[in-house]
Amino acid sequence: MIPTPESLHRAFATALDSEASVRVRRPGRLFQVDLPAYMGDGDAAEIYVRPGRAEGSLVVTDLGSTRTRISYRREVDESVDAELARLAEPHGIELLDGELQVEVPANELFAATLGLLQVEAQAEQLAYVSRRRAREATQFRKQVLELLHELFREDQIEAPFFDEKNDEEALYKIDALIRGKKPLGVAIVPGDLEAERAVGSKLVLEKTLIPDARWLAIPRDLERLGSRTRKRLLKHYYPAGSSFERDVVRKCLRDLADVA
Amino acid sequence: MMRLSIADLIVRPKTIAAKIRGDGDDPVHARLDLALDSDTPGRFQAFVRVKRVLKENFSIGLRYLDDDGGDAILIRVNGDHGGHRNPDGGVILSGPHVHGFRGPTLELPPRNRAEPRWAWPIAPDHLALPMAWRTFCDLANVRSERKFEREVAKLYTSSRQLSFKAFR
Repeated sequence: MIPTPESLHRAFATALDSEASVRVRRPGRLFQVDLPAYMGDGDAAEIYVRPGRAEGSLVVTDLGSTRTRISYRREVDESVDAELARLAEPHGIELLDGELQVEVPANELFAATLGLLQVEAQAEQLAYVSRRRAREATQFRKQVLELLHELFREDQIEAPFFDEKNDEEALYKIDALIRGKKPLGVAIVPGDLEAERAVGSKLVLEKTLIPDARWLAIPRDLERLGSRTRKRLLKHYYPAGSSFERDVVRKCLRDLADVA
Repeated sequence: MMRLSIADLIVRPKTIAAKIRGDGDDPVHARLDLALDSDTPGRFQAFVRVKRVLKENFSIGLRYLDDDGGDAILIRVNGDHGGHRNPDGGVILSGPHVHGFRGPTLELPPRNRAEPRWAWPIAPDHLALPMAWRTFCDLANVRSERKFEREVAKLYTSSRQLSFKAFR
């Protein structure tokens, strides 16, 4: 039989009708949408719906299941949240209080549900990818810090550096400050997240503590940064090469730090 | 050295060595991570996650990290998070279930990133985390201790069920 748009539509509608269901999880307040969509371990993707703030609107949410699943194998840190937010954003979904969620009018429920499904499926690999990246980032940071300690005396380095008086939580910190003729702020940049943080910290620190500092970024691989992130980083930092080469970085550090 | 099969790893006697992490401030789940001792090469860990706003939605797992960096989950006991589909197409619509391996895979060492894809429904009283914890300990051959049972119970009772913040 040759399919027609009508027969295919009927087939989809029938399948949706028979295989999708909605279960009350908390009467009037929380519902679970059961769809035949499964994750790598066979468990169904978790989609919940609850009333939204606006009259008649609905919130479609994973209730945090995506983060919870990632947490079985790795810490859910800021880098995981940043990656989740990045995956969700094209679907109009936000990461709020740990939940992937979007508030929509009732007539957009289906589209929002499919969007959330896609994000949950894409996030499956995050537990592994992020873990590998985190390990690589830690190794890179360690390698650079060792080089700093090789080049400078203990009294010349503060690592990390932040405003201890006014920023007790170290929200705006850089990886190191070298105290030479002019202070040198050093940012170790294994990836996008660290690059953005480095820019933010520099903007704060140059206004408060070290207005006369020079700023050096040591990227693991400049070309692998997002293009806008790279532009922002280069606007604020002098890069020690486009990728990490020990001799180049060593020379940059010596030249810029200008220590006795 | 000969690597142990999944079945062997599961039945090896284990005791709880230490709490690695307790319930933190994660907004979505309460957690407990435990290091387990055994006479087996590699490391075992048990993890518990309980959704803060739906305490019947939880997972307890046995994780094995081998000396070569391999990372496998060998067993999970789940509350009610929704459905599950087995590799043969069989579906569990909802309710508590146990995840495990079956067939020849059980007799092989775990591969890195292994996940138990088969699941079997278990009795509805396993919607209560403390009951599921006991079953997990039986299945994974973990000698539980009162101290940790209390920790597990605390996770279950401290969930912010239907708080205003959670359902604003």
